[in-house]
Amino acid sequence: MPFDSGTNPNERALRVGAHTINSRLIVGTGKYKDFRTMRDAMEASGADMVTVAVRRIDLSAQGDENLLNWLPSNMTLLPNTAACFTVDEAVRTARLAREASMGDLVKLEVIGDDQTLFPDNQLTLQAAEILLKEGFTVLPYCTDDPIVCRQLQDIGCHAVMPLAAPIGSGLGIRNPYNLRIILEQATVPVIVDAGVGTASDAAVAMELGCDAVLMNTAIAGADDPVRMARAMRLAVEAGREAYLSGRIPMKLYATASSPIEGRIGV
Amino acid sequence: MTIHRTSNQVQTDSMATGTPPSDRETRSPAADANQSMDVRINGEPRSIPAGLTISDLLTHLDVRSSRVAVEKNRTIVPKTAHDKTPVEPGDTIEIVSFIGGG
Repeated sequence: MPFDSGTNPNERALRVGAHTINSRLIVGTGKYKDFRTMRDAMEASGADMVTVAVRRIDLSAQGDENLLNWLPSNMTLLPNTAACFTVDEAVRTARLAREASMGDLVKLEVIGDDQTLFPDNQLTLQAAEILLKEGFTVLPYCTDDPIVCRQLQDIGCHAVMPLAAPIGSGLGIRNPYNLRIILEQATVPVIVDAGVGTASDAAVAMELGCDAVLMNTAIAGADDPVRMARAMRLAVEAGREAYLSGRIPMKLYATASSPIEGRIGV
Repeated sequence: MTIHRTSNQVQTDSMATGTPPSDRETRSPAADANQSMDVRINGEPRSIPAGLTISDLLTHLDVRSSRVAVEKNRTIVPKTAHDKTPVEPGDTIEIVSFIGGG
């Protein structure tokens, strides 16, 4: 357990509110071609927190083919409020999620536009305020705007989850400089949520110092989701280790790795 | 592993296995109209036996997962109140659970 040992708080497992998450890779459960592939990808990812969506049950298709039957029982559920466009919808969905999951976690999404799926930060703040008063552990999806992240943190959100690029776009970390500013001022975990396309994107996010990465499409949409899940696990671990190692500064000119002294024929 | 079943089969099965509510078993096939009532469940109009509680309704609909949440007229009915809360004519019921999402 590379993240669960040591006395340095940076080395410990991630804490979000009262919850402890051992893996810094959080994965979504959507878009898989079948439950078996999803379960195998979950296992390969090493994740112990997964996002789920809240929807009306299909009354014509009840039975054991239920998502929850395919998730390990020790998996922490992070229900989302995906596809909510108003404060009322998001709050109502979060309350239903709490009743169904018997947990207090919510990935708060209040979407502002259905083409970009960018969040409406203003409505997200309003919904977060209501949910925080009701005792939820709130992880809001927001833009990579340092001011919004600070406002969400100031009202008591338990993490901030800035997007790196639009949901499902695979464009990677588009604004590492904003993420750095967000990280500098953060007093709660910063989790990059959305935009990761491949393993190097996840590693970049972690090298910047992000506390975790949340992804769905990058794994579920890969030709071999199970293999990509493993790649993402390794990338998140590698990026975290690199961040904690303290990388060398970037320089314009070379610095020799081999000593000058003792060369032959000089 | 339970195979996919239609709602018609579900009703037949639950009657055959003698699951509650008891009024369903005593009702004759010619049950009159005032023994059923019209409600809206997950956006669809539905006729269900009169006198059901939320618990009975979940059984009637063959909802077996415990990880569901039920709203009656936009108010959440906590699990602890399912067997005390009646379904009444004209009620709007939402039954939700978790599906895959990011």
